[in-house]
Amino acid sequence: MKKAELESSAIPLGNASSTFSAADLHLIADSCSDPLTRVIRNNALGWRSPDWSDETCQVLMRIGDGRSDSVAVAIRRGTLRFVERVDWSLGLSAIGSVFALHRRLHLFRSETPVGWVEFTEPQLTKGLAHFLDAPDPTLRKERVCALLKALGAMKLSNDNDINSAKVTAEAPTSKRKRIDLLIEWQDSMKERYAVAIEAKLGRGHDVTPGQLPSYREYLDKKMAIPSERRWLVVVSPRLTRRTDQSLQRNQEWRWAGWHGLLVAHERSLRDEHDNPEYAGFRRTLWDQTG
Amino acid sequence: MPFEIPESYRTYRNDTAVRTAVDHLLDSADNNKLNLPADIEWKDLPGFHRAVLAAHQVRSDYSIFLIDLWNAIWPPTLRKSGFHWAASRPANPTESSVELDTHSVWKNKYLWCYFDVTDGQFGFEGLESGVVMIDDRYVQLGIGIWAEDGLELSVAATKFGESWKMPYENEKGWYYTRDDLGCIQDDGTIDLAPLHQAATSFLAAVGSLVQG
Repeated sequence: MKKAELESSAIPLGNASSTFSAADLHLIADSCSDPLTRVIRNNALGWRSPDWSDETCQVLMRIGDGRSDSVAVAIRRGTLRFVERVDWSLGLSAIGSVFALHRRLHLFRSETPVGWVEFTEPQLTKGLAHFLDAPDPTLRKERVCALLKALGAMKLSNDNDINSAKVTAEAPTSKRKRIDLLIEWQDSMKERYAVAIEAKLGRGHDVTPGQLPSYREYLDKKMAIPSERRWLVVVSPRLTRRTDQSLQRNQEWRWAGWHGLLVAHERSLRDEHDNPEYAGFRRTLWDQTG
Repeated sequence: MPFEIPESYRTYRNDTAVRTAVDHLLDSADNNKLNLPADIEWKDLPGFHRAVLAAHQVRSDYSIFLIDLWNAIWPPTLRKSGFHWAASRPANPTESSVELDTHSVWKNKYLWCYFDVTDGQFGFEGLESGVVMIDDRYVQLGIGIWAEDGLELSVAATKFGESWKMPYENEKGWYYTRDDLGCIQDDGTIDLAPLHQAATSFLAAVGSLVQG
């Protein structure tokens, strides 16, 4: 093979003119007949796509002696470079950490039990309340804690207080208004705390005028919960301009995206406080809030 | 000769949770709506970006895998069979409608190469060869071939060998290998020997047609 042909077959990467991918070398080998290319072609080097092992490089260096083309020269000079792949194990570990994939009952391992149904906002918030407000007090406490951690609301109080948590979907306030999800609890001094979630599901579901101040006022006046003991969140698939404008006018309210919140919930929840039914429900929520 | 699918894609293929995570990251990034997990802290931020990089790695590794597979089958078989067609540039597939950017290869699950045979010396108006992955279970070789007037492809088609399926009525000129030929084994390898053999028998039949 002519040197020019060989060089035109190589993948140039930056200034490393001696860089070849395994596939390139394999191609080059197909049109050559010397010992090096024969072993490449016959796969006698233990060639594995996509890269070459160190051992293979050692074999190549021995075979490279006595040849004069650019591959052999690069081998002898130690400048032969192979295209390295990004270490997948690091990436896999990062994906596992971000999404807490070590969890057996992760929502990503579940399937939507009724993927053909499009649930309404009240149905989904009632479903979430159902699983949070578990009859078993330990489950209830741990699931509520996991959600509050995901929302960043655990800074209001400590874990023990959550023993008294009560979860209500569609909690009535006034003038036919309802808070989508209301989580209330008391501490040992009988001080009351609350997290109010205004849940929006999809396109066209924005916060309506007056909603947010009305709910804040309800917590303030009717429930007598001061601002330092309450956490107000709008949860929606994405932050729309209209919702953003509402939040600008109602500074106490925060925003969280459904997917970001659900991932955070997976990270906080432990398998022993979960069950397949709840994981399936969260998967439904995930699929319908994308 | 065993041919390995990349480790990243193997994990994606075999682990539902990883698959969902990667799909989510890619879909969110593609649509400019990549949100951080709500509870993420500063110390977790590099890990998040590493996860995004890994999701992109799966997609890129997949494209490179199909290119490697195509390279391992078609160029050596074409040369061995005496055909020296020049492949069109990937960025300008001209007659082909196939896009070869990373996103398209990932979405389509196939890779086709269009050959410049416009000089007519081989008796064809157009020729494409490709590799296709079906349902993450097996790979197929594909070839699209359109003979010039006077050459009867259906005669040659009877000699393509048992490895090839006959084209559907509305897909004349397109030939694919049988489904069981390029199965992906549990260990993530593919035995290329039957695919090499299929490509060789196809091109031998085409060669005999050209030579009359």
